[in-house]
Amino acid sequence: MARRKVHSATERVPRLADKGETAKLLLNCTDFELLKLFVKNEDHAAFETLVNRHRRQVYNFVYKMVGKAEAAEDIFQETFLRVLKNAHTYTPRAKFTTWCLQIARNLSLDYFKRESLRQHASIDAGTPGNEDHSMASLLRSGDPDSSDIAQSKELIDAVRLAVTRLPENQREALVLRMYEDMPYAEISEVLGSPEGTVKYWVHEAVNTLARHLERMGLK
Amino acid sequence: MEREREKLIALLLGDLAPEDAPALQARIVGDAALQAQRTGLERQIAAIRSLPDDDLPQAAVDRVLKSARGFHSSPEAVQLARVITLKTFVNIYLPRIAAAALFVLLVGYAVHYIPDGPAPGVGTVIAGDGSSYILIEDHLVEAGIGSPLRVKLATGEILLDGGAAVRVLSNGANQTPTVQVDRGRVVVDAARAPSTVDVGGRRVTMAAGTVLSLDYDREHARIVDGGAVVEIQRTSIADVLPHASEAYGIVLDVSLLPEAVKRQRVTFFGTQLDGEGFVRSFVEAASQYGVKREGKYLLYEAGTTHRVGDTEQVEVLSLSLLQGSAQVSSGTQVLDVPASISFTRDRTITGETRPERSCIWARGMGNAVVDARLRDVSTGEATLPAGSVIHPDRLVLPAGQERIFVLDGPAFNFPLPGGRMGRLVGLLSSGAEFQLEGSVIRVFVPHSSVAR
Repeated sequence: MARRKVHSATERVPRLADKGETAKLLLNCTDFELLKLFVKNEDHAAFETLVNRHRRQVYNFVYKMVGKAEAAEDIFQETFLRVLKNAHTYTPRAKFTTWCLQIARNLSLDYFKRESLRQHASIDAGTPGNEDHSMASLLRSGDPDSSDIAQSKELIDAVRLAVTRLPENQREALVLRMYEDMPYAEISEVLGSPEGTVKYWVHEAVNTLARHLERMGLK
Repeated sequence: MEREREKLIALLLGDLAPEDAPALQARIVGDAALQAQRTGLERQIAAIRSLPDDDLPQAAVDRVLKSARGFHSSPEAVQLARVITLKTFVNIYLPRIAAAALFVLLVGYAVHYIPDGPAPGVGTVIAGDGSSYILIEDHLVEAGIGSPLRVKLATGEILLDGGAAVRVLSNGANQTPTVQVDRGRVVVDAARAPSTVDVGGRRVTMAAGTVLSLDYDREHARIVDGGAVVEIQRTSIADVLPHASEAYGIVLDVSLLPEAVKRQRVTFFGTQLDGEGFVRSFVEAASQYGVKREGKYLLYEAGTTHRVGDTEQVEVLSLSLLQGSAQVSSGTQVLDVPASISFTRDRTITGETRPERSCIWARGMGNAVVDARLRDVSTGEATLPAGSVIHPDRLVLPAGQERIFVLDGPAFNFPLPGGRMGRLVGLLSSGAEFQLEGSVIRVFVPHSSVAR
């Protein structure tokens, strides 16, 4: 019943003059309906609604994958352009988030290839000296509790860097699970791997990062 | 050790299997090293989780939107619009259309092929207060005393007097239905198509435009809602007793009555009768056979004669032609219905010459033919008092104002609304007909409407 109401709301969107009401109706539209409104009716407000609905999740995923804001912004932009170009491959019955993150993931991997930043070596082998040193000194300077640590910029930067140096499958699984709270079943769809494997990757990633932090002095 | 660590991580992430968790928790409690490891992992996981949400600059979003503005001038845009339309149809509308078609097919199958599936509606039943419901084929429509009903069919209509009951059977699409009269008085109006009526083992075939009044007076006994409606019609004295016992808990002993008397039939109709009122009416009805009551016993008083001529009959069917033509058949015998004709189980009696008397109850129900034939009849503004009892030959008002009005008596002694006096000239299960003093006008006063 609710689905029916939303659908009829979409049909009325182009005819409505009132901007506020249009925005409200757009918020009730499904992702596919917004995409359809943009492609067929050139409704830019619909596309803006779609982007705003998913910007946080897509950008966070990409940023945590690549670790660089500028690169993440470029990939974010390209992701939504690919969404438009590849809209014909989208099936309305699939979840838009899953499909969109798959595109973002592929673009991130392309980025790594281009920049030769794919991780072949363990993060244990070549932790950058400065960050490691500053972190170690930070941790050795007292006996910080976890809340203090959590608030320290250095620690955040160290974790962010360590995440980017995880093997890509572990990194993807970790980001979606730990930072996006995505259920394992959905991660499994995005990554195209079985749930059990995804869970294993997450545990491995946490284990690796925890050991790294331990070596840095966070015990 | 590494295995323990993996389990600790799974525990802290909420991924440890429920069957493994209690054992690990127990080991942590008794193992200081494990406790320390867990504490360390908790801190490390908290640190991993501490990565904040990364804020996308609005400028980046604006760039995306700006790039999208040029999308519709791209060659793939037109093609994409077609694909989107096709996908919308295939993924959204097509499944709905398929589901709707499947639903229609299943419902159609259920209606036509499953014996217990829902039966189609054959008409509409309309009560006096205007309420209505769809009549399902073969459903028994029963009109309570004082509550006549009207059934609208595609081919015409049926009027049911209080106490009457009918069924309507569909004979298939585009075929006229068959009306089965179970009991009581009905008017069948075959206004738009020829119709058939099955009643009392006979079939009446009506030409289009025919209006027929039927009175199927047969054995029937019903006491509804503790005496709110009492319908005792051509029921043997012995057979009335179970109804009295069930409805009122009254036990009367008929063991002292001769068998021939026990088999005699009584008829009376009442509303709002309590136990005492019922027994009084019952004994009054049976008194014509010499029955009287002493305590719980019914006794026979020899030498009493019958007051009513036809009550020994099991059933009487009367047909009155109000308009058009009809034939009645029984076995191989086919007979044109004259103005009025009656059938007992084993013989035919002709004689009634005033068909309108048979449908006096239907005055005012909206049937044009009936109303036209009953211009000298009005329906009473008031009803008979609750507790009134109608016998075949008399009307008995309830205790407290008890008076007995005899059918076709000489006196204009019944007070009608407006200070007029009436003489009792007709009795039906659903009311009484009075002739107004000094006028040709007759008034039909129905039983109070107490049940439906």
